[in-house]
Amino acid sequence: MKEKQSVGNFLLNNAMIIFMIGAAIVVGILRPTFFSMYNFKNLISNTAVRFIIAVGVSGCLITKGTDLSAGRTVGLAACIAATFMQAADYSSKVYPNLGELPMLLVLLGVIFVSVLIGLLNGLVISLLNVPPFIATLGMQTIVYGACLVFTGAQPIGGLRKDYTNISSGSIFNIQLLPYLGIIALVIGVIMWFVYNKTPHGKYMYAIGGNENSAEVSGINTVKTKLVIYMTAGLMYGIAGFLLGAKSGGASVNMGMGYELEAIAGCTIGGVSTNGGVGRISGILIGVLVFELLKIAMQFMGVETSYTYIVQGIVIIIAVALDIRKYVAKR
Amino acid sequence: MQEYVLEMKGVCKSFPGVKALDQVELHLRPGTVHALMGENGAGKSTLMKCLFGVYKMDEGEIIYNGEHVKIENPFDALQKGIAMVHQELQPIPERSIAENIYCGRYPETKILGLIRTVNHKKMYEQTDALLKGLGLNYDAKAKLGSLSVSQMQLVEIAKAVSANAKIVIMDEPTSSLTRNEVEVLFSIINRLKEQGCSIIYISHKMEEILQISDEVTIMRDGRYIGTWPSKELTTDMIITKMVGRELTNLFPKRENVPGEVILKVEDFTSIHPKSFRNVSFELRKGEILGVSGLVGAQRTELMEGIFGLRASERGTITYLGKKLHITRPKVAIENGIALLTEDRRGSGIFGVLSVSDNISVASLQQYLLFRVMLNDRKIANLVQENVKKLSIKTPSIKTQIQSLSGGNQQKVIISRWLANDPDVLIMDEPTRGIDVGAKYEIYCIIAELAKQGKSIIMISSEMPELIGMADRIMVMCDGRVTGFVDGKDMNQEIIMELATRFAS
Amino acid sequence: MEQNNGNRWDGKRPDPITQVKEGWYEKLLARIPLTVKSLNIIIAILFLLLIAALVIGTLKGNGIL
Repeated sequence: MKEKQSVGNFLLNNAMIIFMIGAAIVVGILRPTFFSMYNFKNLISNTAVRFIIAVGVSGCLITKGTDLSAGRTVGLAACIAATFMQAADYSSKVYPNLGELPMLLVLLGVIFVSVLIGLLNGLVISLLNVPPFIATLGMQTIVYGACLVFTGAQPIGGLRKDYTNISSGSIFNIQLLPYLGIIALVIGVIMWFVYNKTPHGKYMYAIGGNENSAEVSGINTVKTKLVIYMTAGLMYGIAGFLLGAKSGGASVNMGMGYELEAIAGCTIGGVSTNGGVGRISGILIGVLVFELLKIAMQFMGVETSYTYIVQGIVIIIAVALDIRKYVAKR
Repeated sequence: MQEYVLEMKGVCKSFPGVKALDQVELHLRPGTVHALMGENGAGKSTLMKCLFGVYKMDEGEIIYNGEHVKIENPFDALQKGIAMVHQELQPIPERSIAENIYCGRYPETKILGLIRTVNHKKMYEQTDALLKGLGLNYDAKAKLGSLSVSQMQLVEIAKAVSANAKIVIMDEPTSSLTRNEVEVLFSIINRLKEQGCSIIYISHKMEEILQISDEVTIMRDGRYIGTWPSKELTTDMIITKMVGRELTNLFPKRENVPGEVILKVEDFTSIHPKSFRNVSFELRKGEILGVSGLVGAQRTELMEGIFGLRASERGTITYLGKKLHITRPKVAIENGIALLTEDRRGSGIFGVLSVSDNISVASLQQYLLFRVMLNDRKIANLVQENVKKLSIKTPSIKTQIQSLSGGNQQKVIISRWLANDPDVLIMDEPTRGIDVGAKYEIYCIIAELAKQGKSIIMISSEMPELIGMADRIMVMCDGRVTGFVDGKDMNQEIIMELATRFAS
Repeated sequence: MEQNNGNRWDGKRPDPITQVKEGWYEKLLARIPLTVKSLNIIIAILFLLLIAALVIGTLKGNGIL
């Protein structure tokens, strides 16, 4: 009796992942060209960027918060990065008198802005006690506005080769070690370490588990939450920088709605909306499968509107499964 | 009329790692008050949650009014005439009393025969009638949050009654009530009996049980022990059956010797005028100081204030000769003070986290490698040590703490604080909701800590417990300290007089 | 019995009684009669919708529908 229950439960709890892998296999059977190096590289580079964003949001989710400003922050980061990484000889360069800046400097500048945004989110949420949903929703609009002002609603193009090479290149030119993938992997390992092996990580899970108990236990909930939202900002900045390289350009529309997919990836991967639960490995799988689904749909020529419907249903199913897990515990 | 209005037979329910109910039965006669007793972990709440549709039974049958029934969920239970008053309140303080009572089943009218709207007039009228009928003088339109905790509990009971239930389950209904309010509750119960209602009454308070109930069912370790008419029972008999062995002493022998004064609180006053005021007391090394008072005496608030969870307007705390400015719990903790909160579930445990995490979370700074990384092995060793020392029953240290019984959860929290080696432990209702057997174990732990020279401040609403465990008792009423009772002079009357000095 | 207006909130930490922020999730779930069974049905329906959307979208996108 017990054996049957756990197999059944395992299937249901991981239903989304199993479904999407199954769908990919079906596509592969229908059109064997699906399993190509091109698609694989696409999958890795998409997943890499989305994974970094999801890791950022996960801290907020685990502490029973959320970050709806993630997408627009990524977009702003991409725009800033792209603006300062334009090729010197590009005709419509935004700052024509500004030679070519060192890439690291631009990266630091981008991160500075995104962490600042995260800091503001954190302050409003932990000091002013504004519900994260509302606070980050407001921030989302502010960041969008800032991006509009910064870009003047003009798209940015003509990027330097050494910048765009980040997304297309790989270590020692080995196909299986793309830069994007390695960067995402390194970030994943570092964040895994933070989540599991540092006091900060334990405090994060504690706050998500029961914020009152956390306060009584002497945990500085304000400081921990600030760090979480600033870390999220850091992730968005890095992701935005990489996104600019990957897209070969940036515009104010970039990043729109990314937070929803990031939350979906986290939820599919086991981060609970009830707080206190979530693993880096799960997030990676969740994001990976979601990207796999998107590529599969594109490959099969699914009409665009229907891809949105599908993604939406997937998100709802992920949340429903999460709620079911919680209800089943009672 | 049937002999039994409700029968539960052969009920079995398991959770991961724990068999909570094993062939349990219950036989409820119509128009009676049937008490359900047993240690926590005995399965009383679980059995009732099965009856009320919160849990699904693995095996077993429910026979209601002579027919086999299946209860799918609480809504179904309510519709069948079974209501439950929960131990933990879940009020919506910002809404009116009437809205809370009729939550989810508001009386409605249809505009134009189509659009459903809430019939506020009818709702307030019904609520007023209901409250009046029960002798409660509250305004149906008033916000629920304006009532005191004990009053909210009475409203909760009114809510169950309003559902026209034939069976009302009351889970620890008097835990927040004053003595007067308990009498009000009993008159409500008697009124319900007259109307043909049957009541299942879960409580740890033996005197109450013997006073109000007709029959008593006792459970132990998830098993049904038996049912007896309350006339035939005494407190000792109940304890023996609940625990399965003779308990000659409810409290361990105390060998602690109070020494010099280590903590001095002077004129401690809250920023809120209705909370604690001008509180002054001393605490000696190795002393157990009991704190008594009615609900609303602000004892918890006072201790939370000392611990840095609540703001104070003035007053000084002098610890080992040094004046402390405790602005946050962290400051208190660093100075060797610990607080076990009253509400284990609300501010004590981290339900979804493991036993190991729960024990180590307040002392993580001690297990750092290279000042950054956690030393998992060191943590595991410490946790295992505590599990053994305090006899914490758990399948493993990675088990989620919420699957442990109340007593074991409490031991986990005690371990959490002991990991910091505090000198002062403030314990707020340390044995609330814990079975008799585990209570004794916790008393032993407290006695041992005091013997080792640690000072304990123990807030409790159970007078026998205070008299049995404390060296001295501080009594509070309405936020003020009304007096101190020394070891030899302790008795219930003196304490009660001090506790009600300013009570309205 | 008189009503007691003793709101104990003192500005530092919300009074546990009037604190609405915590537990909103549990309260929400408690009010909707959600059971594992009903959720299973909802999830099953959602999966069917998902497959339908995929199939229809593929057919439409390839010009078949």
